[in-house]
Amino acid sequence: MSAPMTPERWRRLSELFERALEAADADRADLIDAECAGDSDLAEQLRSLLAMQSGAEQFLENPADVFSPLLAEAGEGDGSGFSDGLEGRRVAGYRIIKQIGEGGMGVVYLAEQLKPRRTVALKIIRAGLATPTVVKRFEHEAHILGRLQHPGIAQIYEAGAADDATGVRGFFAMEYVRGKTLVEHAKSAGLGTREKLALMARIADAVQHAHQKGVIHRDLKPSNILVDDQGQPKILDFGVARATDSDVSVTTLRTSVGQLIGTLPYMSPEQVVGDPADVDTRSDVYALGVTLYEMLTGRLPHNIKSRSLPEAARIIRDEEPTRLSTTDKNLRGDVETIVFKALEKNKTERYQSAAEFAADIRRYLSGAPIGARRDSAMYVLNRQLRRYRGAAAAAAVIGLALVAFAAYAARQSAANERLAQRESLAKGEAIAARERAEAERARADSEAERLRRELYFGRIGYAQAALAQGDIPRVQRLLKECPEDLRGWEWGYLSAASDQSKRALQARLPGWGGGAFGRSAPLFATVRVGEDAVLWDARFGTERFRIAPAEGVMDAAMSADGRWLLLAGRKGEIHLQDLQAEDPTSPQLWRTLDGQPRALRLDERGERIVVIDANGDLALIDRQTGEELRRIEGRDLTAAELVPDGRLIIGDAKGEVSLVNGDAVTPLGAHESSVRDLAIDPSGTLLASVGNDGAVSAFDLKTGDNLWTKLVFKNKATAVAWAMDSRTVYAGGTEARLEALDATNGERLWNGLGHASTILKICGQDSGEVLTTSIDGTVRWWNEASAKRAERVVPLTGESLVRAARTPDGFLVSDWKGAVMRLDQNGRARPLRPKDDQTGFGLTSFPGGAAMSIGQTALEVFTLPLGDRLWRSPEVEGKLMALAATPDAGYIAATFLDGHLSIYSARDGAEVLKVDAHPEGAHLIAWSPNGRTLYSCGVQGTLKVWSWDPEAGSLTPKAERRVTGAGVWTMSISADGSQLFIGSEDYEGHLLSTATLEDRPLVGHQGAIYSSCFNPAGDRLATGGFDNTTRIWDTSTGEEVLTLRSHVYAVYGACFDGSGRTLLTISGDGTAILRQGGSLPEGADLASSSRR
Amino acid sequence: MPSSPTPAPATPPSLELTRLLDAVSEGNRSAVDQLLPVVYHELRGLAQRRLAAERADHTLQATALVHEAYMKLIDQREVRWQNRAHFFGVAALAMRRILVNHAKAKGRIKRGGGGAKVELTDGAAVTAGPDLDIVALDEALKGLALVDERAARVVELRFFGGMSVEETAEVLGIAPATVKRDWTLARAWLLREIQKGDEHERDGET
Repeated sequence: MSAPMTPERWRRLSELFERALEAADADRADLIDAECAGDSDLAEQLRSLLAMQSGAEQFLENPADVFSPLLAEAGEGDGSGFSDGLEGRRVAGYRIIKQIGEGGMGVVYLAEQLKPRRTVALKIIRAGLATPTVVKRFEHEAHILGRLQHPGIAQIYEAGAADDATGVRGFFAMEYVRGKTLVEHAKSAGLGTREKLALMARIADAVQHAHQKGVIHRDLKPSNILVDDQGQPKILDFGVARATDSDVSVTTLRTSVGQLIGTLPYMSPEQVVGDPADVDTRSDVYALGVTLYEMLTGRLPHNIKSRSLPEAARIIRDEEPTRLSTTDKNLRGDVETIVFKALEKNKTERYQSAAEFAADIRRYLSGAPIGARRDSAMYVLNRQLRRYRGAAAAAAVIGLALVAFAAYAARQSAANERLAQRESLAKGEAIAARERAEAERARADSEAERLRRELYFGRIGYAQAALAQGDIPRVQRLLKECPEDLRGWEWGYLSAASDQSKRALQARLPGWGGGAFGRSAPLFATVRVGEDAVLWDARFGTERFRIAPAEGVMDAAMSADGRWLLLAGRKGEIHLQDLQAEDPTSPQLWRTLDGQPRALRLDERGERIVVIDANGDLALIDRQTGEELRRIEGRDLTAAELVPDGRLIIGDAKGEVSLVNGDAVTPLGAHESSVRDLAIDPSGTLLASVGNDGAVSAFDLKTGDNLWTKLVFKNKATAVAWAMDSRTVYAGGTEARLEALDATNGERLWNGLGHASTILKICGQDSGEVLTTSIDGTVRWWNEASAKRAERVVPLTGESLVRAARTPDGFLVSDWKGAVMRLDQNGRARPLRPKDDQTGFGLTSFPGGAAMSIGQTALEVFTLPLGDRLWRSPEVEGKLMALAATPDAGYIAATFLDGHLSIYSARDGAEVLKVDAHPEGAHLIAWSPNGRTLYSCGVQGTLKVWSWDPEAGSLTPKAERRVTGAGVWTMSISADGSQLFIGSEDYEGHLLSTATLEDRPLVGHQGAIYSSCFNPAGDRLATGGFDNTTRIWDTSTGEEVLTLRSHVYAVYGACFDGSGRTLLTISGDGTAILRQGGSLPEGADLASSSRR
Repeated sequence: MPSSPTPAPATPPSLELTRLLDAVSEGNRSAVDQLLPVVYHELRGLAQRRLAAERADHTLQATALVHEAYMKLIDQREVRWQNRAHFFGVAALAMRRILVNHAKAKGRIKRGGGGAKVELTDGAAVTAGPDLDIVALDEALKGLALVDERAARVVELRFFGGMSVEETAEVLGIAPATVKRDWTLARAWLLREIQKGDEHERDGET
């Protein structure tokens, strides 16, 4: 037995170990013998440790990969008591029998329902339902899930919320399926390829059923598909992933993340790329493809075993699956083609529905030619098209070939004519041949056109993904490749959004190093925390040189002229670098403080230097003499700034900003918490400050007046700077947004999106541009024109914004409390009507005025732009829902929940007509452009078309169609009156031709669609919904072109302006967002901004 | 029907965190327990955001995460460096717990302890290294802490917290040379203990 290891023995062991390591190999044995004489145990310990030494050098050398576990953590054990000890207990009408499963989202129990008495699988969701809104949403989703009734889907009986000690939790009671998982079943039943395919077709049928009901599974995999004793497949957990999302912005990610580890191999490229809201029914098709692949080969299409998560994601996104035929030669051909079509990276190239997938499998099983073959020929063509410089060129090639063929055919028939002398017949043949050729050509042209469009949508999709990843060069390359004639609103939007800052530099700053700028300096510095400072050329963004003091660098400051650079180390070492010295890179230690300084500042030409040490004490030092001019102690200072006239500004941890003149300290104003940064304007007369309270203040140093204070950020403000002309104050904070404020009143002039994390330093340069550094590791250049191009977020009244309408000079927006304001394209808002605490859902504009509903009981008409009230109706019965004015401003139609619709004279409010229109309740309403046709839609989706005769004052029903069975929320009509859009709460949009009333479904939203608007040209439609997104659709194909996501709450209004360039969206988050798009970038030449 | 926006969940005030860090620096263990969940939560959230934002070829560094978490949670100008060091210490402990819990959970499921319906596919790598047994390392580290707590902390900060020798020295308030010494000895010792454990397991099976 070894002697017990006491701390004393350990110290001895440690000491000998170190000495032995230093000794030469040959001397080690002697050393051990000499030092451990009589203690064989110690000698043994030492030898065994030394034996380990060579192996130990690599051991633990790379830090643990915490990424995957951190992500997995999100969905796993939360330690709440809800997941165990429930056996025998009752939960909301169920008696728990035993736990039968556990997953990322919750725990599954076998349970007995008490009424009606039956055995169920009860899934209790782990994540609590935090707010009543979330509970409501959960119930809404659960309601939809209940409508899924298919033998291939485990029926959801009930969903609800139950209280426990840790809060409200959602649960699902589901059909309890006794069966094996798909893979087990295939194995134990000894299924052959054909039987496996037949089974998959049945599974796809079930998936199709759910898709038709608007439910996407999002987590299909063999373990979620059971096969019961009768061989009936049953899909579990349909839509559960969606229903348990508690918050779209956070948990769409979290849901997938929680289950990521088990699910990753089944996730489609669009899912792994990290765009969960981009998921649609075709993502389920992909998962079915993986499942089929696994059933057939016993392997997964991608070998991502023992890869890191990001690497695995990359493989799924970029790499072709291993061919099935490498496992089994018999799978070559059609089966492989079917599986690979389901596994296409680009969802537009996949089977477009589970039904298509099932149909192709069945075609194969019956010996018919499969559709994927035909499409794969298209795919080959598509690939070839891609290879041509532009898709248009390829289309031209096809066209030319056909023209050549037509000419050849014509010549042939001409020859026949001479030879056979059967003139008329030959002529007829020639004409027929030419017609055939022409028809072929037209068909090929339209096919090529379709392909060209798809390629365009693909490029736009990739460009948006690249934008999300900050890969600006790729965005611009993709946009440049887009054929000009296909460029729609989204193209201009992406052009501007990809370059909101004028340019960006990846400086790869780890941690929070920040950097240092000089206002008129040709260079700037970035700090790599704990390492060195990197100096960059400010014009070209190229690296000049590095300065690496042995002590490392934590922070830096630069004089405005760019000559002097201060570098601070962690322990208070301050280096002062003369950047014009012969060797500016050799570190020049200037002095050492006690700990890392809180702030450093130099004046214009670096003559005076201010440092605040770790204790908050300040020293003002003359650079040339090294003399300490002023010292301030015991004030817990956090920021300082030098005034050119010799005075000093200080800010402290309590938030106070003071002016120091000689010995006199005069308070100027106060933040509510710590002052973070101070900045003097170039003229030396104005001061700006920012603090942890998120406020920005401006002061006049001549009078000492606080000019204004604005609460600009909800969170901390971290940096402030002046523009060269002293007219603009720039501020940034942890919200990563650059704010440019009017120096005279603090009103926002513009803001800049682009940084991904806290802004650390800002500098307004002599060039008129602004430079920023951020924790995200980039340095960005901005100016007003660049920042305003793409997207502007305008906070309005602080209330939920509910309705928007277009006016000749901008928009009207109404809020939850009945306030109405005008908003111009530049985001300037003017109040028009004060709030009256009544929520009206009707708002419509017409030339010279607008009408709105007051609560649900009256309507009011006012003039524009002044807002003078023309008339207000007496109280109306029946709950007013929506309003629509005729384009000639003659009449206003209104719908009522009791089912009637009324038409009023816009001039005086007289009710011209009242008709019972929709027994289910009347809701949406729209006029044709000539004001002669009225479209109305009931709350449950029945569309009625009416003919309006203003002379006779009569409304005649013309047509009726049930567009959907779900509740409807929005209807809009295109400017030419040819298209109508209806958005409903089953997540689907319906694009109708007003001529035929036939509709095309628009699938993509992940929640009810609340708002819609066609652009004036009618080639694009914008929709907004419960999922917080705004989506742009191509109306000719019904394809979703772009998803916009800046709102953090449902989008209740969407509106294009008259030019079709500006898109306004309004949201329950209280903000309006104005986005610029178009087929040409406005006010900015893409070529010049990409010239970096 | 539209409704008013729900307020954002409150984040713990940085003042409170600063107070807790102060308590940690005074050796208050329960303050560590109070701080851990906050740090956990933050690290997790940041990791998720990174997944969404980062390009796939980006490898995630523990230190970068901790730096960002610290920046978000606590105003670095309001606290002493010593507090930052303690924050790093707590973060390393959080990382260690996360990894160990995760490894244990994986082990349970592999051994069939979980529900029958839950299948953990062999999809993605979740281990810290290809062969490293985190649970065994954790056990061995506990053993090391009994005889040399400082050396065990060095391993925790270096391996789980991803810190450099110099950062580790800062956190523990010792010289970098001492960190290097502890690091060398601790790794030899841990490797030996883990291999010993493996042998026992093999012996037991035969």
